[in-house]
Amino acid sequence: MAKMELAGVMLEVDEHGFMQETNKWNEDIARAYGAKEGINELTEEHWTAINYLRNYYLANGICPMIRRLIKETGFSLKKLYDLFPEGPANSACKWSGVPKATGCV
Amino acid sequence: MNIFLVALTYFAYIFIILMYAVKVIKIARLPVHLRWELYPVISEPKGRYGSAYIEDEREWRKNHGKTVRKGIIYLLKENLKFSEYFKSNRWYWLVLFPWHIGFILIIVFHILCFFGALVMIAGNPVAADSVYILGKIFYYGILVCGVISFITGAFGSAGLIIKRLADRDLRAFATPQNYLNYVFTLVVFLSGIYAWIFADPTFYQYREFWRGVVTLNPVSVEPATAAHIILFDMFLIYLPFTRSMHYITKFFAFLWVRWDDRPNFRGSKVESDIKGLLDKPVSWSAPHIKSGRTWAEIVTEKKHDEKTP
Amino acid sequence: MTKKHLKLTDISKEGDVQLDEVNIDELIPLPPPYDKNEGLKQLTDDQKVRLVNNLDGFSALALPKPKDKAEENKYIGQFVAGLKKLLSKENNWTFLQPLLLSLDYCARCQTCSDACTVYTASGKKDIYRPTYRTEIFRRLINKYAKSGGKLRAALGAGNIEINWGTISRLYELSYRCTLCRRCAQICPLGVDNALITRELRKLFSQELGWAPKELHEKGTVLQLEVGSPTGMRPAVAIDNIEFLDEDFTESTGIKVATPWDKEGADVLLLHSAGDILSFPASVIAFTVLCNAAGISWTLSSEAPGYDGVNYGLFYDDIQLARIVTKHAQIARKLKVKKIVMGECGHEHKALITVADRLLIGDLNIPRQDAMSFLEDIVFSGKIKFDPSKNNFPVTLHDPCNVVRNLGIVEPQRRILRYLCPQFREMTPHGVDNYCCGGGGGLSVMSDVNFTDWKVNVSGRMKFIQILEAFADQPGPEVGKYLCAPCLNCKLQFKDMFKYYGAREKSGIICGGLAELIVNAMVDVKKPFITWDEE
Ligand code: SF4
Ligand code: SF4
Repeated sequence: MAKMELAGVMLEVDEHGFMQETNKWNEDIARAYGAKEGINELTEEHWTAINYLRNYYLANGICPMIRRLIKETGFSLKKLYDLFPEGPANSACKWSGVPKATGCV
Repeated sequence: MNIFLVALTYFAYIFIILMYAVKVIKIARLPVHLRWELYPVISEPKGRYGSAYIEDEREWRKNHGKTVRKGIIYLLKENLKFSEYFKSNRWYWLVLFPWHIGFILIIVFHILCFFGALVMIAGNPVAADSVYILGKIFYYGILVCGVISFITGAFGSAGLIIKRLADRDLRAFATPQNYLNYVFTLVVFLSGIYAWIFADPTFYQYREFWRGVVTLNPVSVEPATAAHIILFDMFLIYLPFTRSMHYITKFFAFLWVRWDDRPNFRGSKVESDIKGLLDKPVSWSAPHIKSGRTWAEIVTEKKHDEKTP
Repeated sequence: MTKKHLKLTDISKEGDVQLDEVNIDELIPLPPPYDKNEGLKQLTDDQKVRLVNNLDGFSALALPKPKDKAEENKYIGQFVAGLKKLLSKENNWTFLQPLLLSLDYCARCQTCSDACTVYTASGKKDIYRPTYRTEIFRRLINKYAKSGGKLRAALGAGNIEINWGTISRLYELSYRCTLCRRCAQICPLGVDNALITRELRKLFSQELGWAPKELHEKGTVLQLEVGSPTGMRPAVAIDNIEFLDEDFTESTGIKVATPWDKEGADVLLLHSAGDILSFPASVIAFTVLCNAAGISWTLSSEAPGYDGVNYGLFYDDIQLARIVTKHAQIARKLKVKKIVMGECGHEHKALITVADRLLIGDLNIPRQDAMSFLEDIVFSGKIKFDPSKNNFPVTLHDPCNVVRNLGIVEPQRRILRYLCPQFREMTPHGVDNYCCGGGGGLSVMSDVNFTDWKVNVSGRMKFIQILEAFADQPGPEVGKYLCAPCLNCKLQFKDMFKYYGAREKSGIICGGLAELIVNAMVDVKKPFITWDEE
């Protein structure tokens, strides 16, 4: 299993850098992920999306449908790509500390 | 020597027939397998553009009426023409086709010799000037088959050796045994040509030899002919140890796998076979399988009833 | 650059030696504007230290390097044991006869190589030849699993050593094939290299416990545990679909609702949960059509009755059998007349034909394919269509598991000819189609740098073929629709189109068949298909 240090914590990650132990997540880790992808400052809007994603995941064990994410946050898909350079699945989920989506997605 | 030739011939034929029969029975007795057909299935009514009866299964399994005949005819034709190779691998076909034609004709040649012997025993001489039309037919049949067989077979064997050596892609996959096979067949066909030219231009000796075989009354033949007979018999004995069976197993590969779209009707033999197979024990070792139970138990996740110690 | 020629015995080279590499300029060229060379993703230095990387510079499986010789030897022992189990009637009755017929009678004529899109796209690399992995496997079986095999091998029947290098390379190599079976189709002797490849995967999974995590741990295992490889639980599935129904009702004014767990319905519709997440329009389209046509139908909320995928088909007979049994049990419990598949090719093959000889008695419930089901709806006369609403270029991708493997060729075409004025075929198509490049489970696998391999190598021939089908209107100003009635194919196209920027550069998007039908409905005023980013 790969390891990666983020915000001073040694984390188990998959080969794409997604956290494997989601309970170790904290906001600094989200910031550190963002910085790695060139977003040095997480805005209110980032947190809206991250918090929604993370809470949905913790409640349901899976990431929300994109359509739901758009509806619940009020951000368009384009806006989400502006906020998260690699898009909702590859950046937003990763920054929220949840595992990479699998299974025909 | 004469007795030896006859005995060897009997042995070779019985041996190859037995070996092939054993192999065929072995394949035929393998358990029924999961469906793994590949379209187009030639015997399907709409097989021409690849469609299966499944397309029309609104009426679940009402209109399944296929015939194997169409498939068998297709395969027989294919075995004579090799048109699949002709279409997709022309250079290879150029040597492969004569090689196989050599085999087919050498078999026909022997069949004709055998029946020719019966014709002779029945009192009709087999000769060019035979007064009996049957005798004439057999005379020319044997002559033509033999000569063409030897020549195309020798050409094909030599061609395959060259092709397989010259073509990098083929060479990479060849085993020493492949070359041995080609050399062997080359020698068999060449010995036939030699005997024909120098010892027996009308195959008179061959016909007499076969009469001797049938009547168990060995006749003597010239060394060249004898050599060919021995080589051919040895070749027959060797055949079951090669992949030659593919000429026959091909039928099974197509009819029993590629085109096997027999549905599992309720109460059918297929169904009862499967029931039996699901009761077989599984011993795969990976942890997720949780072996030591039968297929049925594993698949339905029923607990294996614990045996009391 | 000179082509690298491999010997069969190269497979057992020292464990760490990489056999070959893929260079983008050796691949067959793409037409402009896709001809610029962007290098392929390599393993990072850290990954090179941790992971086995001894095949082609790609890692689909992220296999960790063994700790020591003892661990290597353990796997080698298991591999040999697995070879023998493949030949046993008890452990492998499911495929024993086809396996033996394919193992024993190949003529090594290489006719099949040119039929393989992976091999062709790669610029004919030996390593991707359909026969390369299978001939090695054949020689290993002959040598290690048959009596007298070692002697025969030494005498010239082909001698390959089993060591760590052999098995680790074969493992990766067994996932460089899409199981599309074009090679099997062309073989004059009926030899099926795809089947052999699958047996190899099976050996690794069923004996060593090695399988891609997307297919196994987060695939079939997750599906049997919670209901779906996506991790979607029953309540979430219901919630998601309710959300989609409401969303559609809001935006179109057409009221739709999805029936759940309706006992005695005519049809149990078995979608793939991946469609709910990645291609929700497909799910909505089925709902709209079933309701409009007045069909008595239902979805099931019992795990895994709302996810029709069955990755077992790609690598493991036991998992395959477990999942089809579950699906059939759910249908039996609901007392439906038949199961109808969603647009998912491998689900079709797994449940309609392969499962046919696993389900006995009242579990063998009638099952219908999505294509003829949709055809019945379209031509039932219950729905009014206006084909001019679909007046844009459309081409059809044939999923291997629906055409070559199942023989369902015409119903989808009858629909498209009726509803899509600009429908055009690709060449070749139907049972001779090219695979999307994501078959055999590859489309859901994306570990390490494998996505780069899928979009550049296995999908390459298909991508060229799609561009050719639309060559009359290549620019992005004309919106074009690739109809791919299969979730796995759609996922591969999604990756591929994103990688190449096909929507931006050529205006090509990909979706299913049901969406096109709904888009042509007179009652649905708002365009159902759009070329906006999804
Ligand atoms: S699989 Fe068939 S086509 Fe391919 S090399 Fe073997 S015999 Fe020839
Ligand atoms: S199944 Fe398809 S991808 Fe695999 S070797 Fe055959 S032709 Fe190539």
